Amino acid sequence: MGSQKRIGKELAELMESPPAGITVNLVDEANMYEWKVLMDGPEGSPYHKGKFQIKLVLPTEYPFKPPTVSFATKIYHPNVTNDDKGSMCLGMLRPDEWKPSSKIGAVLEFARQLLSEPMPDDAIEGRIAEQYKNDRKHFDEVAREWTRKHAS
Amino acid sequence: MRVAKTGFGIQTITTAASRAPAAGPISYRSYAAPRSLSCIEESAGPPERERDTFPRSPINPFTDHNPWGRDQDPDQDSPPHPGSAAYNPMDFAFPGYSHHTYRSPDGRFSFSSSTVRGSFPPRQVGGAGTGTGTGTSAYSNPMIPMLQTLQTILGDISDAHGNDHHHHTEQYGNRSPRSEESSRRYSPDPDPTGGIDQHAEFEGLFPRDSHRAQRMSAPVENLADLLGTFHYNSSPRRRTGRPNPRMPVGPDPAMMLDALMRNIGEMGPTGRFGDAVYSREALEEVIAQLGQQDAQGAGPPPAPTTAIQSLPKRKVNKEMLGSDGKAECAICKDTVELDTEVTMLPCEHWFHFDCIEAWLSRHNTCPNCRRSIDPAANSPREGTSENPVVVQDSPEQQQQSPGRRRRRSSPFSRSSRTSARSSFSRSGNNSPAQDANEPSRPRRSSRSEGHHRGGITGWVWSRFGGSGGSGSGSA
Repeated sequence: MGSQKRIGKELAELMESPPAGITVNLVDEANMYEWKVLMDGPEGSPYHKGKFQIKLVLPTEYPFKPPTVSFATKIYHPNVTNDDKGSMCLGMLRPDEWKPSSKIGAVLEFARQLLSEPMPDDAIEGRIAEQYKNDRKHFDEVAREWTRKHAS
Repeated sequence: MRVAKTGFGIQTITTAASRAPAAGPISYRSYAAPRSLSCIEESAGPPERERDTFPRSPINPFTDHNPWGRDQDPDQDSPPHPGSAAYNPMDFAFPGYSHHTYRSPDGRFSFSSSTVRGSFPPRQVGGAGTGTGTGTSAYSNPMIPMLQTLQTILGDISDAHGNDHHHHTEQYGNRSPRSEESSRRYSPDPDPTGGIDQHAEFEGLFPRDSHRAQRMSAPVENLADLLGTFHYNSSPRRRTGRPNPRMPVGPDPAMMLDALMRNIGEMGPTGRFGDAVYSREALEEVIAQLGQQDAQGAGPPPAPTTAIQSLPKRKVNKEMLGSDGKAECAICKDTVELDTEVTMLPCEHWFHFDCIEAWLSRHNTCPNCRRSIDPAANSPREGTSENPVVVQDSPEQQQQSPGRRRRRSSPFSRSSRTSARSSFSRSGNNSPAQDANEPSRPRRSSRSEGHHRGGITGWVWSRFGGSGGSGSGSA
């Protein structure tokens, strides 16, 4: 299948020259559609020094359908659902915004960028976004605490 | 790259009301309802004096009707007959109740008005309650008799116009303006160019294109539009069917009331016309639907196979490879060598045919720049400032220059409506296609005229309320 070829290509590329703070692996060597991504909390963010495990699932129709990104590690972030799914809300992954020319590497880099700069106005967790906007000090405290507790 | 926006294309109301100058030459020949009320007992029979004076005209039994009159009259078996000489509505009125009747000098129409101020009267007066029978206690809500009366009036008027509008009344009787039947409300008078037919398109929510605003479901921006629609529908040209001697000219009152009621009714439960919402609940409903649809994988529609097949194919040349002499197909990410045959999209991005076919059969946009491969879909976005193109499905014309404000002509005068429209397009604001569609979309052109009050309220506001900006559309 065409999707496998492209996925293999992207995987090889990402393993060979991974973007900063990101390492990719397959969950299961026999299944190219589920990736295990380790993401370092970016410096300068309350997630710094945390290691976040992300599950990236590619649909069989990839690249015609977008991948999904979810945090297996609990994270206190306005754009990540605070539940056991840990779904990350990425505009470029929305079905009507997805472009097959987007690559997985770009998706992951963007996800990491979102850790540095949350987007409270497009938040999925309204309460956390509110705190991020109005009470940054406490937001940072909680995020750091969660990072220490869950991501190290 | 950016994080998901929740920009769903929700329209907030920016419809405007323009002034409605005095009505054109319209005459109501007769406005009578032959049947008596069904919601009250047969107390208000046809007044005798009317029968005497106008033997050929159906009698209006509501002339002196007071739905609360009987409640106040428990000691009498029946109220004084409205037609009798002794009749005086105030005789049995309670405080706050006033009653007026007016008859036109030539007797062709009459109005009667009952006004109740303050609280409603006690529904049972005294302990004996001898003659009132069942009528008084049947209604827990004092509004119900009024509503039923209105309903009956509508039905009677419909009958007066022949049976062709009968189902309108049924519709209101059922209180289900969104029933299946509502999609064909105007079927008795089918006309593909009929402006009012767009009412029929609205049946609640339908799948939406998340890239565009939902098509409007014919809101009434102002009274002038509404009345103009009536006139259009009832103009003699359109009423070629059964000629009705009592209605040679002028709007069909049943139509008018029906349309008015329907618009009120449609707005009532949801507060929503298409994407134009009037309440927070309605807004949330729209958002919820969009969210749901997005989760289901909406997006641009697929391209037709013929369009995919007819895309031009090119051999990759040096120019196409770009400065570094290397290029890849953005879909499969394979390197593309010189002289490989690729398929070129109108935006000049190119791909392997198999790759682009797989994508286009899902979504008709370029995988790189998301431009539609349908040239017609792109060209409207390229209007010039001289000749801006109105996007068909957009309910709002966003950029309004002051010069675009159109004068509102008499809503009843078909000819001045037309001339107003043509001057509108002459000023270069309408694409030809838009203009051609105009007959079926009569209210499109008046949608935004600068201020933010829609509906009848807006009309009233512009007419009587605000000074300053709200009067900008006046002649």
